[in-house]
Order: sequence, then structure tokens, then C-alpha cells
Amino acid sequence: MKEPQITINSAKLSNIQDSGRYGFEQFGISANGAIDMYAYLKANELVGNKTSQPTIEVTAFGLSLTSNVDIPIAITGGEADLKIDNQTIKSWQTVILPAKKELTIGMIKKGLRVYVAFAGGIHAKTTLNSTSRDTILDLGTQLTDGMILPLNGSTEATDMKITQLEDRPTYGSPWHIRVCDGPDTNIFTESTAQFYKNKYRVSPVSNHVGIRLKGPAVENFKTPEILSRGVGVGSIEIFPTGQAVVLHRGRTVTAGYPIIGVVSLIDLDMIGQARPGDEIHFEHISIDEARELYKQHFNKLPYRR
Amino acid sequence: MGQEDYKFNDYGDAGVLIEFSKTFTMAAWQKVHYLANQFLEESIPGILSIIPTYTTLFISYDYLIIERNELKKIIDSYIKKSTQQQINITGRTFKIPVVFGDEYGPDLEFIAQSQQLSEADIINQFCSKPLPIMVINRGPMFGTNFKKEVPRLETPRTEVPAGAITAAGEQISIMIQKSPGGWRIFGQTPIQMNMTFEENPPVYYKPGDMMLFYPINKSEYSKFEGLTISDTELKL
Repeated sequence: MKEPQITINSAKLSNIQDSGRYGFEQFGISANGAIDMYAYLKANELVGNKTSQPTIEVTAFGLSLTSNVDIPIAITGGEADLKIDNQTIKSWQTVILPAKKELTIGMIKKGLRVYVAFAGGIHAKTTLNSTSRDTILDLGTQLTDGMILPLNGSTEATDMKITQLEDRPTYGSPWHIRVCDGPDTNIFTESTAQFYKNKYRVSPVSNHVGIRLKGPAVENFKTPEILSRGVGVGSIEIFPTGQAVVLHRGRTVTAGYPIIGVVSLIDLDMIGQARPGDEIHFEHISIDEARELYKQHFNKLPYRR
Repeated sequence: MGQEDYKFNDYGDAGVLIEFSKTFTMAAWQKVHYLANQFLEESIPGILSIIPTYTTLFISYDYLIIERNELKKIIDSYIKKSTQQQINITGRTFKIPVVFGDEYGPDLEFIAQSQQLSEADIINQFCSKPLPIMVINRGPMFGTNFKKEVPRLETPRTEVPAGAITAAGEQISIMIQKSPGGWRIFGQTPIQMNMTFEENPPVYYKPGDMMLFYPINKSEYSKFEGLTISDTELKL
């Protein structure tokens, strides 16, 4: 019997991500994991995976691959042209990828990341209990052309599911990103009002580690002496020049810059989907509001990690 | 210690920064690591990340599993039941050979000048007693035993070798892998300290362990190559 597997025909900027490498941040090993966690989890749910399995995270430029068996897949995340051979397929629902036919994901048009989940999951190198790609420590798997990844083998029929429209995020510029207070909000008392009025654009120098913002400098604050301390994903650091960067899942776990606010969990996925050049507005919300929004959205999923 | 000892600073909707002091004190550092160790030993459901540093402990948590007030209660209970013995973190001692100066420590001269000491004095001072590992962030970090702050490089080097002993401000850091860096390099150790991802924990040393540095000659460097940190442990 042939071993079920996929072959990456064109990898572009794709890698393997799962829900993250938790439990090692005390050593400086960042959790990483899918940038758009909701889309990642949804893709897994759509193919009937009982636990969150590794997926392919496609960034910006698309991907193509072939399977040697018929396999249920689901594609979620940003908007791109999706085809199996010459036939257009839809995202946010279960699709059967027939053996030897090529799945092509075109350039991503809205948002920046697309997720491909496979029924049963794919087998990828596991380090410290996770397959997630860590570009700084070089852990996990960066896909390359011609790479073969074994499928875990669950090719049996799965329920064909479609995500309700209300459960699909809306991707695209301008992005409204909701932000909660952080540990240093008191340092920025005179500059937060302006920060929340400003328009920012995503700089091309952005990645899993951080999203750099171009726009008016944050003013009227004094950079205090801050001893290196643990920093959370979503932290909006302000450099002494007044420029801002939003730390994402691949951040370095300690830093000493003041933090004007922290992107709420619900919108962490969205800021990670913003493309270079996209417009960003920040809106302040309370921690309680942020938790309620996250709960409504993520509680519908069968698992969160 | 009591509840009034720390500040519970909410950090976005899914994090908290526990702060024991604004400025560095040994007492605050000890409390941070005592608390971190309690969390790491008990692995409480919903706690996703524990990052202890000098005076603060960052925790990220899944508030759909553990609510903020539950988390605060756990912290209070750890603090209430702490004993001075637990707070006094003790550790092992590692003896680390270092080649100082020249191509192994191109900034030794700069550091000596900045401290208004001779290069030999800097080496003696640095090697005079074991330094406790204060923080781990991809490598061990220590406080300096220098009298003045060490200014960073204005333009970071694009490549700092593994094993480089570097200083900036009031901190010392050992580079565990080749990477860019703006800290001043004053020596290099042949001992490998890189993470071993096949093992759990992936890092052999921990905060509270001590490193006692001693100078070796350039000609001795190769003798120690291939040794890892566990080979240097001082057995009492």
C-alpha cells in the first residue's frame, strides 16, 4: 500500500505552524504558532481533526502541492484564488483534494496568511512538543520546492462542513485593531489620545516577530529606564524615536521598551494578517470587553490550542 | 512575604506582569524566581507562559480556563506560604574557562578604559567570585561586578560568535549561538552552552546557578572545545 503523502510543488514563503510551542518561554524559546490562530483552528475543525494538527501557513505569494491519495482539506485565512487543477474551489469549507491533482493557492489578495489543513494532519518534525516554525532558533519546517510530507493517514470520509458567514473574519485594509491597556499606559498619559487618532501603515519590514508601523511618532513621553522584562504577544512597543512595533508570536520574550498598549487577543490574528502598506487604526477597549469578544468568537471552536 | 509585596499589573487581556520592585534588588529577584518556580513545578491548567527576569514575572494565561481573580489567588497563596529558605535560591556552580582580550575579546581595552582600570584588573575583578545567573534568555545573563555602566556599541556587529562574553550597561550575557549583537565583547569561552532541543529541559543551567570564570591562554582554547556546560559543573 502506498504511503499517503503530499508533495510541495511550489513552496514560496510557506512553513508549518501549529498552535505553538508552549512551556519553554522561561528559556527564551518563543511560543510561535499560527499567526492567525482562529483561521488555523477553523481549518482543523473543518477537516474533522479531533485535536489541533500541524497546517501549512502560506504567506503572501501562494503555494502549490499534490497529494498521492484523495484527502479532505480545508483552506482558511486571507483571500486568494484557489484551484484544484483548473477548477476553482472555495475557502472556509471542507474540500476533497483528489489524488494526483494539483492544489494551487494564488497570490494572497486580502490579508497575508492562508492556512491549509489536512484530515488527520500532516507529519512534520516535532521539537519540544511542537511543529511550529521558529525562524530565530531554526526550529520546525520551512517548506521548500519538492519537499514531501507524510499524511497521518486518515483518508476516510469526513463530514463536509461549511463555515457560516458570521463565523468568517473580514480581512482587508483599513484594519481596526482593538487595544487594551498595558503595563506602562501611565507613561503615555499625554500621548495615548493622539495614538488612537493616528493612521498607521504596515512597514515591509514585518514578520512573525513583529509588525512595524509607519506613521506619526508618538510624542510627549519619556523613555524610562526599564529593566529587561517578559513581554507579551501583542505588545505595542514605542522606541525612543516614537516609532511603534507590534510584537507577534515569534517575538523575543524579553525587552525593555515602554509599551503603549497591548493588542487584544481577538485582534491579534487580524494585525498579523495586515499586509505591508495596509492602513491600521487602533481603538482602545477595556480588558473586560476584549475578553467578552474573544469568548464569543473562540468558544465556538472545539479547542483553542 | 505578603500581598503588599507586589503589584499585579494587567497586561492586555491575556497577561499579567507581577512586579516586585521598579529597580533591581536581590530580594525582588529572589521573589520573582521563587514565584516562577512554583508555577513551573505545578503546571496549572491555563497558564501558557512564565517569564521571570530581574524584578518582574510575566505570565500569559488562557482566561477561558483560569480567570484573572483565580490567578491572583494562586499567586497570593504561593506568596503567603513561602519560606525564607525557598526564597533564597541556591544553585550549582560551573567553572567556565575564558580567553580574554585580543581577537577573543576585542572590546576588553574599551571596557578597561571605561572603568578606568587596567585590562588585568578587569579580568581579575570579573573572575574574583562566582556570578549568579539572573535571567535566561537564549543564554545566561548576569549582573556585572564592574563599578560603572558599560556603553553599548553604536553600531551592532553583524556577527558575534558563540561563546562570546559580552557586557552592556550593568549586564553580562554569554552568546550561545552566533548572532548579531551590540554588546561589548571582552572574552570568549570554548564551552558549549547552546540549547539541546532533543532534551527537556532544553537548557541545562537555571537562574540561581553560579558561573565562576577563569582565564586561560589562547593556546589552551582548543583543549576545551567540544565540552558542554554539564562537563564544567563543580562537584562538591
